[in-house]
Amino acid sequence: MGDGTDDPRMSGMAPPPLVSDAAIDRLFADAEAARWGVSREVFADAVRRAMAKLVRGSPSRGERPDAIVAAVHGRDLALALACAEGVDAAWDHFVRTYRPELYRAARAMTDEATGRELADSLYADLFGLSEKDGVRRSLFRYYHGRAKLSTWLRSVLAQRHVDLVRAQRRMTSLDDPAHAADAVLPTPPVEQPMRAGTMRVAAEALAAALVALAPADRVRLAYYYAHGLTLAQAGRLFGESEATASRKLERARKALRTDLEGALIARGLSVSDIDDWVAVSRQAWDGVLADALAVPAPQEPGAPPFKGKKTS
Amino acid sequence: MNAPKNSAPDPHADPLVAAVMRAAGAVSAKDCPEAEVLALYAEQNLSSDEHGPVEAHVADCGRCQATLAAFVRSAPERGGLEETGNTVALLPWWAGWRWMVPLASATAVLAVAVWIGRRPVEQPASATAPVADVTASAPSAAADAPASAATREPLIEAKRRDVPETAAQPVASGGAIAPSPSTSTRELARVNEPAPSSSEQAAMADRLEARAGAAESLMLQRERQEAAAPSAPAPPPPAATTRAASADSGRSGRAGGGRAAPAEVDAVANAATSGASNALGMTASKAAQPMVWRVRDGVVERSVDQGATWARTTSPTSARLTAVSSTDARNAVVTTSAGVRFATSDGGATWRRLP
Repeated sequence: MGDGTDDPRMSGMAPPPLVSDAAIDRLFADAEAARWGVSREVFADAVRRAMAKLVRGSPSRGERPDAIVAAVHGRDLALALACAEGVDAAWDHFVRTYRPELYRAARAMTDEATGRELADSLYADLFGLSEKDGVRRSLFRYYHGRAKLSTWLRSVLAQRHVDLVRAQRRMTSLDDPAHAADAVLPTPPVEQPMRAGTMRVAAEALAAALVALAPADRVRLAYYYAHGLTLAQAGRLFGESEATASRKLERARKALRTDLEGALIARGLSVSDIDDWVAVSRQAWDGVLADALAVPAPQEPGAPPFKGKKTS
Repeated sequence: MNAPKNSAPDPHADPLVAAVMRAAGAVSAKDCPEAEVLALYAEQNLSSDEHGPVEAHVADCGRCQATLAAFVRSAPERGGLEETGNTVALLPWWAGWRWMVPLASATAVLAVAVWIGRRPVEQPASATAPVADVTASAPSAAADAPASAATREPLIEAKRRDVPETAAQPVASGGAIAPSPSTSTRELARVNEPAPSSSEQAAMADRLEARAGAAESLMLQRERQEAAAPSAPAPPPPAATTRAASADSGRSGRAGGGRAAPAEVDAVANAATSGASNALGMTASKAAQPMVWRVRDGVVERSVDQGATWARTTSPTSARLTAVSSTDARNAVVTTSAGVRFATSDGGATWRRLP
């Protein structure tokens, strides 16, 4: 967990790659770390930790440590180090430069009041109001300079926002895998009695079809259908244009529909069973599931619910 | 495909995806990537061997998906000041470059003219055939003086109408001759621009100068001077002018009524075929050449003191001359109003008729 309670500096970590002093010296000079009173030793130690984390996630990059030292956001890292140490000048600069962005981002995630509270909470943790063994613990210790400081702050803020929402919604029941199948089981309306076994088979087939998708396609579907991102927003997370995001989402949806239909047929469901399940799902999920599966609304009684491949 | 959905998160879909993902792997929150890694993933800055595992995790983790969704929702507007959080109403990226459109056009025209002007001068004399069409005229009192911006402006307007046709058919164009001083290719570059003030002219010249190169510095400086002091006495013509517009070509037999055939049109036509053309629309030789040529009052003249004084040379014909073109101090070609051309290779001492 990124902003958890354990200091990653204390945790077991791969030995830092051999970064040359010259590379660190260059970064130290470029970062103007001395401006905040950050010593070369403290800075070098932080860079080596960043490199160690990078190599842990991407071992191949450890082969050229000096070449990737330049990728470290030295200025941001120096500022974070200084803020973690409580340097007043650094804090003044941080407040002037980043605090407005914190509030703006928090407001964009939630409402004004909650956003303000969320940002203030993060700000307090960044300042390090909490102590452990008499030592002030700043959240900055989790910043390693791999991402821009502003981006990292927004990511931490987003994590805290999601955790807050999940806690408020009491979503713990969904964390239990035992409830997973039940969670996707729409409740058949009274006028459409459906065998529970059929519903369960269909739900399992849906789960299997989703899992069979490529991770990127699952993420696309989740962004769009579960989290309500626009195509432009989802595309931004993939570094794609809105048109590309739309095209790839459509492709993922078609793949899901094809796989699901094949799975349902393979599990012994008849076309009639599938029709019933889709009809129930459409009502139960308010059309969202049908949209996800690109199932058009039946135009007339008896119309085939799927337009994908049909096997009987 | 269904229409894109831009609504808020649907509470029905969230449990669906979450449940399915947990049925697949039940990824617990403690396995989530750090916030910094998620940020790098969201901005596609992870290395290839990091990206795959993170994406596989995100695909099965509702928490990380929601985090990334919140992350992208809170992104500053594209082009916004992320560092400071300032969200200003930014113009489209091109909006701030509208002023570049006329400048780019001017630069393109100038670049073409410069490229043409730098072509080798060893072209055969016959290559200067459009010289016959040179009908640029200038009042005798200002024949050697560059025109002020004010006096050029109508010509530029006329040029706007006539450039395509005249440039394409330089010999056959003919037409009425605007009684104007010669103009430059740089003026042609301004035809699409509003009439600039003196300061704007200077600024524009500065910008163009940066693109034109050292060879054009002289003429740019000259025009800046004009712009700064349009009413000041005109400086002497540039050195080594080897082709001059006929001062009275407006009275030539080729002059027709109605449509104007401004001097700069012919200047461009000749610039495209002769050795070099300077800022004044005259064919210019190398700056080091001491002798310059011009046609005035139907006869050809030359100067050995860079235009300070002029002397008539032996005329190859009794017909009225309208233009002269030269590749060096000794070789020149004159053109009569009837289009007949004569060449000299001894500085005008003797002439021969060209076919």
